[in-house]
Amino acid sequence: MTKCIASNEIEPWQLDAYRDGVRDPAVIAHIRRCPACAHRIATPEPVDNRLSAALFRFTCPTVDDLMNYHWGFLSQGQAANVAKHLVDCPHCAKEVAQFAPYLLARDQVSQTTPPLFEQLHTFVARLLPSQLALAPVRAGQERATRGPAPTTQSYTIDDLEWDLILNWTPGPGAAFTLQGQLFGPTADEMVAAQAKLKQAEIALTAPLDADGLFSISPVPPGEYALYFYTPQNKIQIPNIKLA
Amino acid sequence: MRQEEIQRLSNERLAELCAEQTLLFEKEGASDSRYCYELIRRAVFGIEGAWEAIDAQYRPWVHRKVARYCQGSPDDIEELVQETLIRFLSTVTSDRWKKFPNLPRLLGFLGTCARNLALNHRRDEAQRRKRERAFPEDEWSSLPQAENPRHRLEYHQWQEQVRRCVSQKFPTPRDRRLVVLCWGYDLRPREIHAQYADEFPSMPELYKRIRNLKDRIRRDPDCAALLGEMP
Repeated sequence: MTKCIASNEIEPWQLDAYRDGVRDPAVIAHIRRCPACAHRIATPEPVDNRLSAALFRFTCPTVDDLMNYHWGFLSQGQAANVAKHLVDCPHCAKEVAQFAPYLLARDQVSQTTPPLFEQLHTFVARLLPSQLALAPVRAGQERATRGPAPTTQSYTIDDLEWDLILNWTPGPGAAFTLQGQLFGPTADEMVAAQAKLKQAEIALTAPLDADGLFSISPVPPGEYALYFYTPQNKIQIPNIKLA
Repeated sequence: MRQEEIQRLSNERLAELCAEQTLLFEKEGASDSRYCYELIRRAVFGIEGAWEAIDAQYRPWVHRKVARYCQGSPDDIEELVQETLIRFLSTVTSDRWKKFPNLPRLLGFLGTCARNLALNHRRDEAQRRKRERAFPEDEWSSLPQAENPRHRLEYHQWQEQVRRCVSQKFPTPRDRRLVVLCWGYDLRPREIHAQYADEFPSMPELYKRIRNLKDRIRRDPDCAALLGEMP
C-alpha cells in the first residue's frame, strides 16, 4: 500500500488538489483503484499543521496596532504599512472591521438626539466635471506602479469653499482601497475629523491626518455614501460606486 | 449650564451630573454629555480625583462589554476590565485629546479597548488550536499556556526557529509570498487562486509550487528536524 499503482496516471499535485476539494474525474478514478493514493489523501501531512502552527499570522500587526491604526494613532509610515497589510490579509481586515460597527452604533445614537453643542452643520459635496478635476492626491497616497489605474473624482463643498479628491483602486481579491484628501479645514480640525463610508450593513471609518489625507481598505464593491465629520461640520458625498 | 460653569464644577458634582445624564441617556436616549466629557477630560489631563470618578462611573459598563466578549472566571474578567481601563487612559493622552471631540467618540474608543482584548483572546485561541493540531499528543497541548511559562517560552522559541529556518530556505520574494499566503494566512490553494488571481493565475502551477515548497522544507535537514520530519 506504500506505492502508487500507476504513477504516470496522475501527478502528486493533483492529489493535493483533490484534498483541497478539486474533483477531477481522472483523479477520482485513480484513487478508486489505488490504495496508496487513497491512503495518502486521507492522511493529513504533519508538515502542513506544523508550518501553520509556527507561521500562522507571523506577519500580522498586533491587535493594538490595528486599533491604533483604526483610530489614527500611528505615524504615517506605520499607518501605511498597516494599510498595505490590510489590503492583503483577510484575518486583519476582518478584525479591523469589528472596530467599526461599535463606533457607528455610538455615533448613530448621538445623532438621533444630539445635544445642542454637538449639532453639526450638514453639507452635501458637489461632484466636479472631470475637466475641472483637482490634482491627484499627493505622494504617499499615490497608487503603486503595478495594478489597475484608480478611478478619480473631485468634489467641492460650495458653502464652505472646501474641496475633496477621491480615488479608488481594486486590490487583490474583490476589495477596493479608497483614498482621498480633504482641503479646507485647519490642521486641528483635520486631526479631529473622521471619514466614514456607509452602506446598509457596512460602516468603515478612517481618521484624517493633518493634511486631510485618509485611506479606507479593504472596501467590498458596492454603492456607498461617504461622510466626513469635522468638529463643526458633516460633509456628505452620496452615491460612490466602487465597481 | 454654560460651558464655563461646567469647567468650574468640582469633580464630585461633575460625577453626580454625569451619572444623572448617563441614566437619562439609557432611559430616553437623549442627554447632555458635557459633564461626563469634562470629567474624562480632567482625568486625561491628570486632574486629581477625576480618574477615580470615571472608574466608578464606567467600570460596570466596561465589565458588561468585557463579559460579553470574553469567557473566563470572575477574576479573569475583572483583570480584563482593569486592563481595558488602563489601556483607555494610557492611549487617550492629553496630546491626543483633540481626536476625541465628543463623548460618543470617547466611549466608542473605550468600547474598542474592550473589543481589542477580545480579539487578542481570539488570536490566542486560534494559536492554541493550531498548536494542538500540530502536536496532538505533546505536553504543550495538554497544559494551559498561562500555567506553564516554560512550555510557552519553548513553544515561542520553536516558532521563531521555524520562521528563521523557512525564511533562510526561501530567500526569494516569490517563494516567501507563497509561504505567507499558505501558512501565514492559512489559505487553501483554492482560496489563494480566487483571491490573488493576478499573482497566481494557474491552479495547477500553484499546487505544484506549494508541493515544491513543502518538498524543499522536508529535504532541508534543519527545517525537517524542527518540524519533526527527519529526511
